[in-house]
Amino acid sequence: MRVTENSTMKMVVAMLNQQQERVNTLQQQVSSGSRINAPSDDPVSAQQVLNLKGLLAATDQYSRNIQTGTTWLNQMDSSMSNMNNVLTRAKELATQMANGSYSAGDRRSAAVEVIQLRDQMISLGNTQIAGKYVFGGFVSDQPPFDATGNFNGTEDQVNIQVDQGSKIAIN
Amino acid sequence: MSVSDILQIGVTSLFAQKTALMVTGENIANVNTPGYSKQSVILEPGRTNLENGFPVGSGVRVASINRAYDGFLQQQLVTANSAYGGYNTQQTALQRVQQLFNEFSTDGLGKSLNDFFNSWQDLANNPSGQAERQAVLAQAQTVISSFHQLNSSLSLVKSDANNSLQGETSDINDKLKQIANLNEQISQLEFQGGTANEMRDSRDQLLRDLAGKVAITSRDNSNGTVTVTLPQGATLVDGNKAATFSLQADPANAGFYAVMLTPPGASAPQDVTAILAGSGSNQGEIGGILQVRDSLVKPFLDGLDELASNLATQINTQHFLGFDLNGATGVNFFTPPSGSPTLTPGYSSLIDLNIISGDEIAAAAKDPTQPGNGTGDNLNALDIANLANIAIPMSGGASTLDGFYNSLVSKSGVAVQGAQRGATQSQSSITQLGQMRDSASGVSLDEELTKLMTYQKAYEGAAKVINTGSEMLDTILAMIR
Repeated sequence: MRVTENSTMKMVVAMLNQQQERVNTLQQQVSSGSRINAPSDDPVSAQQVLNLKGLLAATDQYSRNIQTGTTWLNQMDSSMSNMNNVLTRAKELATQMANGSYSAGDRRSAAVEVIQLRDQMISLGNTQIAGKYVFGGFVSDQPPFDATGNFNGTEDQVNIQVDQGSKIAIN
Repeated sequence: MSVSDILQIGVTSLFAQKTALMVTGENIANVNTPGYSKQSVILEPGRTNLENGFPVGSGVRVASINRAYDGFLQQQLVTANSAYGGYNTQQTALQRVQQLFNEFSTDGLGKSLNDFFNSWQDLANNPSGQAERQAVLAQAQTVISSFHQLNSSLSLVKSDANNSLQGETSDINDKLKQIANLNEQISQLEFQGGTANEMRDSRDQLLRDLAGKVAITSRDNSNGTVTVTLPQGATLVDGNKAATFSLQADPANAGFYAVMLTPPGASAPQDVTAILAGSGSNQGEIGGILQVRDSLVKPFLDGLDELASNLATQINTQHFLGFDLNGATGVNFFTPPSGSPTLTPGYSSLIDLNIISGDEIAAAAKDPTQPGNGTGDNLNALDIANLANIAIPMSGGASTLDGFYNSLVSKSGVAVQGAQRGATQSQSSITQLGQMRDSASGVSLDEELTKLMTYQKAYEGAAKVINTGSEMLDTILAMIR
């Protein structure tokens, strides 16, 4: 093949361009730290990466949901264990007073304590988290128990999403 | 045989070597001229005379000045240029499209969609919270503006392509006119004899440039002119007459330009838009532009419309069933797409919120204002949040909204990859053909300098012959004295 000065020059320029382009691609990968910087770098993997990114965002959300749920459940747990104490005390009083050896005065003071215990129960039943009444079912903006202990809430379960397609009740 | 014949032979040689030196000089001068073909002098011996019964030549003469030219290579270069022009134009436009869908460098519609559905989960966690309700509205607004922005950016790619037709057609017209002018000059010059090498070179170069703009076929005629036609037949240059391209707004195509062609000699322009756009990608720049405008961007706009319509329909259907904080029900969340529920052309630019305040978001499945119910009801919000995970039948098969968008992103990548590959391939075939052309037609300085010496020596020799003849004449004249 006949070779001229110009054809050598053009070949060198073309090759240099090619190498420069490769260097550029590699620089981009190195500086961004990822192999895919545009969908055209690898369309199939790009789609998978995006699907996973979506999944990751959803998982973040689920973990936020779970945190909210945990707060609710912890609060309820402590309220209910307090209720348990109150009930134990009430039962104790009831058992004591059932045996006829206590005077009318004793019984009166026991009655006062039971009224206090009832108020305590009502107040525990009206436990709030961030202004929401946790034991009210779907009625969360008003106290579920009134002063006489009547239940004004609903029996609905408040569900949160903890994973794709799985919900748990947090009340 | 007289002494003057010797002088005559010397003169022919002087003239021939001088011409050869001039051509060599021309070659050296044009070593860097694009499209120049190496020329060479073809010498042949002069007429033979009988001298005392022996045939003796009468010097040398220049038979022709040829250019090293390969018509087949030229044709291949023309075709390769058309392919490169087409692919390169597509690549540039598709890169822009891809950048719009590039979730790797910026957060785009995909992120907005995720955030939107996540905000519904937050609302489900606290259905009566004003902050959560505002967040849902704000995220919905982000989704809406993402749709609007993508739609207008994609439309801009199309209208930019349309506007570039003006420069493109006037450029083509200019080149056609130049080719026609060269046709005229070449045929006139060659009518008087010889070949117009330089003009043919510039015409070849023009043809290659033209082919990058629009796919052509060319045919050499015996009178030195070249006839240029579109591959489908319409004449562009015939002798010294050139066709003209013009543009005309086409109401059937959203007011975009139709490309009209007035062939030489014809009076009425004809619409060649469909012909120029062609089916393959090797239609030159103008073909690439028309494909970008009329077919390549469309699937992305359609996909966007489909996604927006489906999103609105899905959310609306579920939202319609729920109750807002004031007990209202049967309200759409987005302005519903008109016509067919699955695809409304242009809906991605029309989608908007149908409700104004956060109170109007229907998070509850039952009326929260009725007794036995409350604002803590989050069932509808949960159902809406769950729509993100539900596969909906769409054009590419059943897929979630997010999945459909991701496949759209991937599609933009595939499109760019295809155009890139085509552009790289045609570019390297141009480089390869250019090498072959250089090898056949390029000027080699080594070669020319050697020739320079050869012809110079021959010139000196011819001068010596004349000198000798002159001395011989002197000798004869001295005898007479």
